[in-house]
Amino acid sequence: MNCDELELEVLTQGERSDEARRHLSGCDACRTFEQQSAQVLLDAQLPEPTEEERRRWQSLAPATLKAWNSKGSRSSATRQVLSLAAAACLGGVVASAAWWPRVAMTTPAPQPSPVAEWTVPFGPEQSAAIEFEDELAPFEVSWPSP
Amino acid sequence: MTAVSPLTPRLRLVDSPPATDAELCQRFLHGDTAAFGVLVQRHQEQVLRLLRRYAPDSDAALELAQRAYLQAFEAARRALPKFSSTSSATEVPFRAWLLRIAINLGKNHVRDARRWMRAPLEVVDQERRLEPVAPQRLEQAQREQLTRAAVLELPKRQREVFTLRVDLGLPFAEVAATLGISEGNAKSHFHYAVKRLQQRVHDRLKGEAQ
Repeated sequence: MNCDELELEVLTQGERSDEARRHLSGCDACRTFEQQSAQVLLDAQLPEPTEEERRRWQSLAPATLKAWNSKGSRSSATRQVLSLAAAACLGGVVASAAWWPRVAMTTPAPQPSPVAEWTVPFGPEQSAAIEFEDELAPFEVSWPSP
Repeated sequence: MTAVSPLTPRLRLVDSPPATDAELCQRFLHGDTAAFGVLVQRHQEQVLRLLRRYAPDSDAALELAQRAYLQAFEAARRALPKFSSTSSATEVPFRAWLLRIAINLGKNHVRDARRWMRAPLEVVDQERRLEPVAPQRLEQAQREQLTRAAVLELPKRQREVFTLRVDLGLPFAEVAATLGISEGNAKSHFHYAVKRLQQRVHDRLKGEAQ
């Protein structure tokens, strides 16, 4: 058994094992640790609660129940407020949805994108062709007789 | 003709086992306020003993205890449906939650109190100072005060293990179960906590003597 193991046993076991007793009998540092840790644990303890403290402790259950109930009523009130707020938000959304098409109609129509310009040479030959086309007989449409 | 013996009542009183924390929790959350009282009184001694270490007076300890219960009930309300849908509701570790919440609230209270320069435990010490103090006890009183102050400065896990062990006297297995750690781990933290306290108190007493 080394010193660390002895310390752990001193702090966590009720009775010393034979091995621990043998170690303690030959180790001054561990004997000091045993005494000092007992003193520290004693000093760290709080004094027992007084009668007055214990009497006050009896008020804990009713006071906590009251707080729980008021917390519950507060949270239900909060839920009501939140549901009202949600309803108001929903109303706002519906109203804005009804208003939206009008906005869409009044918005200017999108401008067509500019078309590239082509320059075509136009001389007497082209002019004759046009005149020729003008002289074509009108196309007659007639349905075949049954 | 045979005589028919009248039916004899076979009712007998049997001591029913006490309701578990989870059962009481469920009953309370379904509106049974008596279950609430039983549950609070069942653990109030431990909760208040823990919080006395952190609170400056008994009123503050009561207030912290009340907050701890409210938070634990809130946690139970959120968790119980999950537990009952998957497994037994008796698995709700209400007491462990309650003690852990109490320790955290206590520590936060000390942190906040330090901001306002209020020392915890001052009432406990005041009450003791009112008692007639022999001169030879002065040194011991000073050492106790230093030690208790040093407990509040321990690292979180060491402080949790130390207070559950010293203030409540819980066995290491229960300390471990409350904190969700192994028993060996709890013992190890306790070992480190005591060594650290010894060192702190030794250093401070030495510093004050110089």
